[in-house]
Amino acid sequence: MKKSLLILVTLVLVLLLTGCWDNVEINDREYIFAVGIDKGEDDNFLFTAEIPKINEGSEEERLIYTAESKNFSNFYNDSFLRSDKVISDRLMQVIVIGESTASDPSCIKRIFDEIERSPQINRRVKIAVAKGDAKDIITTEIPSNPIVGRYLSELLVKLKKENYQDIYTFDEALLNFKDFNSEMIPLVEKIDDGLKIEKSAVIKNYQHIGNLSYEENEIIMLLLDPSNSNMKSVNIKLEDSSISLGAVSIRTIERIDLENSKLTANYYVDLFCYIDSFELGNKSLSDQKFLEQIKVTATNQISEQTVNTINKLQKIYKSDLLKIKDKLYKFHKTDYDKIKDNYEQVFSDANINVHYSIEIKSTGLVK
Amino acid sequence: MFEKGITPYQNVSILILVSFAFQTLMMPIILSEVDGPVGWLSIIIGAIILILTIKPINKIMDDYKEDTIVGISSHLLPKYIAKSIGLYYIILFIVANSLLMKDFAEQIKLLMLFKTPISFIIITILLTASYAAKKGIQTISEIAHITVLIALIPYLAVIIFSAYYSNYTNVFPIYPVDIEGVVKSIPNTLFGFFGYAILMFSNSHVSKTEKNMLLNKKFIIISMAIYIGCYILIIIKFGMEEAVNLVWPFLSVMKFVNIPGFFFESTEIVGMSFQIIVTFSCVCILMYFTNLAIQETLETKENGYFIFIQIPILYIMAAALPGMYMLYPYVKIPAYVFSGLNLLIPILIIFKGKKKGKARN
Repeated sequence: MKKSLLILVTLVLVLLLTGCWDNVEINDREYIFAVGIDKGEDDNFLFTAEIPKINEGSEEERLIYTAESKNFSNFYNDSFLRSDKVISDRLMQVIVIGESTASDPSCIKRIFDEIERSPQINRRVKIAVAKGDAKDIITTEIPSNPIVGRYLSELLVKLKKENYQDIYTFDEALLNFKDFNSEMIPLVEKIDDGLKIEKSAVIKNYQHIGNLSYEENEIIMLLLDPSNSNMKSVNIKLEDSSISLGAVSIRTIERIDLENSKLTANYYVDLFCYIDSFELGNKSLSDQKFLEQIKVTATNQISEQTVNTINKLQKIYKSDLLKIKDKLYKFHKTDYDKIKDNYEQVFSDANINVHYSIEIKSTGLVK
Repeated sequence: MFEKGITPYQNVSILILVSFAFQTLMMPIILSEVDGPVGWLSIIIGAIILILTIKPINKIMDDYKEDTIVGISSHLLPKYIAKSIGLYYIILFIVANSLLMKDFAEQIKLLMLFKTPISFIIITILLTASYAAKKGIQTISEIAHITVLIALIPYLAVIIFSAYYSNYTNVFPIYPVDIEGVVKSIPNTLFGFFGYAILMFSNSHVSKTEKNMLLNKKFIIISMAIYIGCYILIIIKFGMEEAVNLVWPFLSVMKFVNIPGFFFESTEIVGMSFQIIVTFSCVCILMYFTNLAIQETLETKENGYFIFIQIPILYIMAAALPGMYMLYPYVKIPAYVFSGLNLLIPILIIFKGKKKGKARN
């Protein structure tokens, strides 16, 4: 009796196994790899989703779904009615926000809130702002890597690893919004045979307010994270010759002071460089005076770029992309509390100086 | 009667496991209570307070080797107080178990079983856990011991992979310390050391009681290290601003798990799988000790009957509780009461025990 009861209970449990109620076979799913979000009509978004045909065994073919919806949930519901498969965003690699969407703070807030709230979408999904429409980016045909989601994801990971960009995931973008109110998100552009990420979009108060060029980006990254940053090439002109230097190692010391609402930040940057290119047959590099001239010219050039970049941040964008606020909050909290309500103005009026020192460590394999 | 006799190390496993479950449960409260990332100070202070009581309570327990705290109180205190203490522990374990189950069932529903009714998830856990709890303390302790090895340690190890791209400076500012917030959150951190309430019952089941004092202290130190580790992990991953905004901060950390060379459709499910084992073991442990508390309070010799009586009570309580995000504002006051009594009852027993000892001398 006891044994048969046990068998009966086991059978009932097997039939009622909770997991089976929700299962969807992998062949019945469609995984979104990338989604582009543009502004649609009537407060709607125009979603453009890229779905690789994984189920059909092809890694290089894809489907593109485009639909206008109020939010992600509505978009999935609409897609459910248009397909024999169940759409899933669990493998989503990249979200591309169109320029029109990025310029509207309420749109950015709605999108970010839904992603943050969602138990399904991974917070590590990569993020980029499109130059123009996100739809154009998602539908781009890239011969070498036809799946845009995969291509952009790999590109963004590479740029983050090499410290070309500060932010590459949704999570980082969200935390930056909350902590600093401003940030730079990679800007993806369409080119002839594909896509490139060179610049970054400055987002302040959930609104796209402008872009930073490659050089400006490089300088900000240098001040943000000197130990990992790059200054791959500094091209100067000296005595009618073009010389290219690359920094192989960077050391930075920063001193941030806040006295009576006057913020002063001094960065002392040592760049240890190699000469990458000069002129065949020109022996000037063996002359110490010439090397000194190279250092002075390169220092002046970088300093000028830096002053312009910082000026842009302070006067035009009024955005603390250098995250000085974070350092004040963490290491000078008592002083920071006094100015926190007026921080934007304090940052705008701050005295920010970057002092460069260049050392030429090698001229390469020849003198 | 149940089979008695567990090893001191099995006892430590039980205590660490139960504490870990409640530490993750209490984490959002500790994060939001303290202004700034200094909640770890409350955890350290809480641990020190508990360590100070370990030696005297173990001395009393050594005098009454076979008895749990309910049994000891019936020797030292008037009958109605002893019964009240028993009743308190019954309520504590039932409330704690139903909270744990509700929280866990909600997480499963949100992330894994979208269509399954939450009550079905709860009843499934309850039926399975009650079967294990009915097998007695030896089975429970073996489950706990194995769970620490195969689930808790891998769970914590997996979480280490989420620390990639964290902002370690988020542990600042330390100064100025929010003293008021730190003091206010001590009772909440004390509730996180839930094993402390369990050891009042489990110590009497240990075969070599002479090791209890040392291993109880070790439990608090290990538990404190895990507690602080989890707290700091959340802080460095999210920063204070975002951490206080999360309903399940620990679960959100799982979303960042990236084990090199592995592919997961949903990384948090990896952590959930380990958490299922941990929580299931905790539910078993709590069911067993609720049964023991009822048995000792009512002075019955029945073994395991009360485990089945708990099922409908736990089911109704867990199913009736609102969602955790709504519960958090109301958990603070019960946590204050339970933490206070968890500390006061052993202190009362210590005081009475010493008084009786002096009178005997």
